[in-house]
Amino acid sequence: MIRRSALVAGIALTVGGCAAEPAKAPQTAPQPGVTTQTAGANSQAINAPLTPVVVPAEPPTMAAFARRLAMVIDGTRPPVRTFPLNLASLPQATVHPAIDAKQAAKLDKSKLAEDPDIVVVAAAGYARSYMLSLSFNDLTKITYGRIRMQGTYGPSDGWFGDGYGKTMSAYATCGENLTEVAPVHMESVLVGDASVKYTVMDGILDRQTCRILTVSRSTIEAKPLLPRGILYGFRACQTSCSDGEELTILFPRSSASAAGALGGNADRAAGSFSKVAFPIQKGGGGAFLARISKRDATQWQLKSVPKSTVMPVPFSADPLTLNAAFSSMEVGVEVSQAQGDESPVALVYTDVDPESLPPLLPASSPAIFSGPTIPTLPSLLDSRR
Amino acid sequence: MGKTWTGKLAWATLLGTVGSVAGACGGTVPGAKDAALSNVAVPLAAQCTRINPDVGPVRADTHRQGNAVSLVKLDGKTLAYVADEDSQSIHTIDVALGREVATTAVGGSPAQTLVLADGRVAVTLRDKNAVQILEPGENATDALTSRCTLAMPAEPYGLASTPDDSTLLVTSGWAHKLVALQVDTLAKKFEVELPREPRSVLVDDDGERAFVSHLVGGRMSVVDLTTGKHEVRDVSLSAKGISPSATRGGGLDKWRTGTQGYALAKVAPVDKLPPPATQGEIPRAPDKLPPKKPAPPQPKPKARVLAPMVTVDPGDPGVRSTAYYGDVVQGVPRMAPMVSVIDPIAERSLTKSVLALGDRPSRQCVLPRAAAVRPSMGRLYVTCLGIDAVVELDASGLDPARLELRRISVPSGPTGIAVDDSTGVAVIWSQFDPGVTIVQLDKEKAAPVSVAVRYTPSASAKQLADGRKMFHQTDDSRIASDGVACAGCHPDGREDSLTWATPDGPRQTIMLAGRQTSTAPYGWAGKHDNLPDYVAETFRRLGGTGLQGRDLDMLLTYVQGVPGPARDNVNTASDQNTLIAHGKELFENEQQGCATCHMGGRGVDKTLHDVGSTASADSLSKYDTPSLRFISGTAPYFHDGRYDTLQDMLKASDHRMGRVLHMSQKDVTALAAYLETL
Repeated sequence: MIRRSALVAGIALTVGGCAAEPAKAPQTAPQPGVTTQTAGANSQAINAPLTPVVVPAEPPTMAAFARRLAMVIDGTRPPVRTFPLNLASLPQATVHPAIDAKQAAKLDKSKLAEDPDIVVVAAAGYARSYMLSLSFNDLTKITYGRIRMQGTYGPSDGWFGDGYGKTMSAYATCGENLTEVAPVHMESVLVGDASVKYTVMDGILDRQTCRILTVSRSTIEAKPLLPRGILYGFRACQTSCSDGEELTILFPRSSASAAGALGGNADRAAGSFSKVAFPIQKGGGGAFLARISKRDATQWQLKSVPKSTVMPVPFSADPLTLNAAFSSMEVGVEVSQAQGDESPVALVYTDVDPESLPPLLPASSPAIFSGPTIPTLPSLLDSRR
Repeated sequence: MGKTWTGKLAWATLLGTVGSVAGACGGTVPGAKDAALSNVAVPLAAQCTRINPDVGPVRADTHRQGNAVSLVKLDGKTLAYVADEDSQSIHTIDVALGREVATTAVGGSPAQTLVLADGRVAVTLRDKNAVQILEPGENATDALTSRCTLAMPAEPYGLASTPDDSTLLVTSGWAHKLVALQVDTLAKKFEVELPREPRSVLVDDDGERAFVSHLVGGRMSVVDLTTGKHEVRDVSLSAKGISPSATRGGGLDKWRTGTQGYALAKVAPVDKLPPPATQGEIPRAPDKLPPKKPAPPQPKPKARVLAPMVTVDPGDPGVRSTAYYGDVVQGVPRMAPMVSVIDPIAERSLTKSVLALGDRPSRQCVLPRAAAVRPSMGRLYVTCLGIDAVVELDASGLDPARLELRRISVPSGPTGIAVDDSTGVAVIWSQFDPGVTIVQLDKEKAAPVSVAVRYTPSASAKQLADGRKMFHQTDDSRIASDGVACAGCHPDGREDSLTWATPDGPRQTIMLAGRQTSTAPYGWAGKHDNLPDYVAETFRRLGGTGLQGRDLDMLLTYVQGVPGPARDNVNTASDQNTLIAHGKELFENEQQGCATCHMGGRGVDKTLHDVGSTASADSLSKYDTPSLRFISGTAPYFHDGRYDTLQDMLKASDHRMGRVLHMSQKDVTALAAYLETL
């Protein structure tokens, strides 16, 4: 009803306009003081469907067709809600650098201990010598994880086994006659009710014994960036925090993500969970944008709920959204620091109401959430709805 | 090379005529008080000062930046001055009453207004190459009265004043200049040459730099106001398109240029964070951290400059693309909105990435026109043609275009906006469906108030205006499958200075404004003798299904009628006139051979020529003779944009397109000077 009345009023508004259309009747000047309450909608907007249209095109036809397919219009982006982010309130930690093959070769295996968390199980059958299944000893210590192992497999030489989950498969070769080692990099997250514990381990695969030996291991408690989690962050330093920091953000598995930075690189890693990092520095900045399926977001959130807890309402129960479980949400973080800014300006944004995310957190949300909320205007104002 | 502005001032005085005034759009403005130009020359200082100082409205904000809408206060009431380029008038709107209370006819099509410290109103008259100074009356219902008019280099557009209110800055789009005037005497302080098509201007809070947006080129100019040299520094607003499929060095994350740089705004980051908690959990970290030192008090951050624009990927012109006007790119759309955030001290854009998730959203703000900020909330408001809306953005982001908080629909053609921070009221001017929209930003449920203005266009003006609306129509699948508008590549009916990749090879966008009469056949290949056929082919190339009937007629009317830039009307030095006359002789001389194809300078011979311009990606070797009308402002040159200047083009194409190498440098200069007058 509101939209219809707005449309009518919008038409009424155009009377007297220079560019009003259609103009079957002569234009008359509006009476001074005429005021109409309207949303001002452009009632003359062309409402032709924005779908790819196949029409004869010149050369080459298939290319033109491909272009149209590539230009499918996906609808209007929904508005977002922004939340100020106090980077100073985030944990700061020094994260050890990953080791490469040269460094790994110089390590004294006898001084390294077997990793307490990861178990290596060789595959059965013909793949026994090169397919390794990695699993975690204690599943209460991990929600999602992934491991990379450097080595040689077939014609390729690089990192293999970017598996995820509680069991991960990787390609590597073990055998008593193999003396060289392969660098191993493992990352895992443990989703809690108000934080995410991020563990990063760098070590080596001792191919003789088929064991993973730990070189360094760090655990950082990342803090939530949104009222109900989803995004967690910490400030990471490489060797020294005086050399600069990176903002590292952890979030659920994303179906798509993009990140950019000014003054450095923005790194993003996908898998069972997502990680994005970009430098924080004066004169620079970074940003990322990611799409997360609501199903993955819900699963991530529910990992923090004790089993005794009554299950909160997941997205799929949202009566307003058909197939809500298959729809997605967008999240992002923007950080910038101009030369005149004493501290970085940072914010988090999302196109869903974070309050709709399960599970419910205690009422005392962290202070970083207490920024102004964006009022939701009636759909009357939003032509995209 | 160009004409030099002599700084002489043309004057107008208040005529006091009450009556209807014909607008540029053609039509009548009932009851408008005429403050039009006249040629009455009177002493400068006396004529431009206020007759009745200390009465009437005063400016309502401290932005000191021009816009099509400016707010003033009078006895606690908020009034809005609205620049209506079609009716050539300033509408005075009582914001609280929601109605027009006065109309002032001005001497041309006003682009921006700026309220000076003493209440006078400066107006750029884009089509008359002038700035008009007006004085408000004592009452809100009083029309403005003209105090004086100053001649400006061609196409004055943007206005701004320095923080001390001593200097008024004026950009001139076609003449690509920035002119500084002493506010009290309105004498010229300095004038600097800028890159192509400057539009909006603002001054930083310290008064040290002026920032100027450019319609094309993906750039911003910074003019040093601290020294007498007034050095002009270039700021690149190019950004990399980054999408999930982009890989470093993979070609997808390449630099994109920009267009549609009409608007500018500035705002300091707002500290929305709560005070730090006195007791909090100390985060556990694996390594020892140094003890925290108490933080010193933070200085007030500098206002950042925000430049709404569109980033463009025209494809690789050096390669034949598989589709027209940019290639099939699985990433950021070929035209994507962006708000570049400029670090005012570093004079560098912080926004170097355009992020996309591989989708192609519709109804994006790809024709931004005006901007305003709400400093207390850290909000940026951008008016967008095409979608006919104002988007509210969080100005704290690295690219506020990603941070659209809400969208307010307004009548067609929003070209101006002003925001009263104290009351939370936004006033938006829509040029195409003329009307003012008043929005209570803080009241969720308050419906916007629409205010009709006094103007009735003539039938012909209306037809042109309808075509203008169609020209700016985005998200119309009849025009393009990805929703781009005609104005996307032809802002102001001109060209985007880009060379696009096509299956036929590189193609530079051709200027339309003022050029479509007697220039058939159309297109670089000259395949179409009539405009409808050429336009239909363009739609096909863009993946559109095509316009028919009245809609097509409206569009063609506009394309053929969109006016070209106004010519300089300032006096040129006699030696410059001599140079131009000599250049004309050279142009028409058979030895040079220019006029053989470019008949009469602006005409064409309707013939394809091979002038040795074939690029590696070209499928053709012969190209249609283009019109040279307005050639001075349409660099780069040739169908592939290979020459940055006219002189480069003349010298490099000798004996393939005319003969100039035998000429002295002085003659080449004269020839180029003549070309610039076409």
